[in-house]
Amino acid sequence: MSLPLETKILVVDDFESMRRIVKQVLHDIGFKDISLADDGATALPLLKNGDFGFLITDWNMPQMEGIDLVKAVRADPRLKSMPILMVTAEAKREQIIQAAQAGVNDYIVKPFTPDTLKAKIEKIFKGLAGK
Amino acid sequence: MTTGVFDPEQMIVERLQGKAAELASCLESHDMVGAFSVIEHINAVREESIFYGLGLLARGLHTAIVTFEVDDHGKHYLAEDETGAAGLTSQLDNVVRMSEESARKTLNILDATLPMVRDLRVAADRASSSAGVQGDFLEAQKSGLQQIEQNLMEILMAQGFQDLSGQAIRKVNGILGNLQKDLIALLTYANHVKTMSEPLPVQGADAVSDESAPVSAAAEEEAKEAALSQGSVDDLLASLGF
Repeated sequence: MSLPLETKILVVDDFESMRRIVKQVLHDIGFKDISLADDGATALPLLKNGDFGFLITDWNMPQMEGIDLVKAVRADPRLKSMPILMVTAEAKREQIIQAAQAGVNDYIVKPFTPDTLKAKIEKIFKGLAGK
Repeated sequence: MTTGVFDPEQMIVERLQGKAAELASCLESHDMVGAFSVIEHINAVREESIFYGLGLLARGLHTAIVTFEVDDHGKHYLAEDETGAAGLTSQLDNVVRMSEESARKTLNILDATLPMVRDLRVAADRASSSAGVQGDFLEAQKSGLQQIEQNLMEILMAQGFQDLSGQAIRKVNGILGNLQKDLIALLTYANHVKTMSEPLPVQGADAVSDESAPVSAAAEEEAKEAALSQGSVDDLLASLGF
């Protein structure tokens, strides 16, 4: 499928290396407008004041964890329909269930491959297009 | 006999042997009150030996954390912390910083190289379709650039180790800190129990004394705090006789 490559994306992870890896893979897919944040507390104001169309977030972060960021986005009337992909090292069943209940569109366990990230993004946007 | 090195096990054996002789003496003279009193003391020795075991464990863990050593090669990279001690948790933090810096350098090079390779590959792709006799050369160039791009992407993804190893080290650091804190709290609690029975001698480097070290109110209060500094942990352990 053809992805909406003009979508503005926010990548949130407390490790700089992971932020840059995700950004580079997104570039490789064809996305051009990518911003970065190092935890939920810095990401939320960016989301509220920006015109982002897609959020990719880690779980374990200082100040505000990814799961709380997801809940905050889903509770915000303007942001609540934003697609969210969680990319995290947390792989326990109950955590995945918790993330799903909080409202993530999909979930990737680190380490991941570029193909996995691309497939998940395609799945998310395909699902949105079908609605 | 004093050997110059404190041996808690030997001390407990000697105490029990002394109490056993007292017990035998009481039984021979049909002094049942005295016999039961000696048995109570024997029970107290058992509890105190557990207390000493905990104390030695806490001291061992604390010493290991504070004086953690790395080999000469590692020392070249690892700095001492602000207290001057090359502590375990500080060194693990340094490992995270080092790997982060290494990953950053690699990513900087990849950021500069990947777009160039992509542009070259796209240019070769366009040129090969209208290159005539040079088509084979351009096709080979395109193929090579594709492989280089793929290899660079694999190097990029491999930098993800820094995130995962960093998270693991942070968790280990947290567990070590909590373990030390919990042991100190347990030791303080055990000391309260200890004061209800006859105290054992204080540990010494070259002699065994029959006096127990009093725990100061300040030291007990310190042990209750959520986070203790390395220095205050040292002070508290010392006040408890370890």
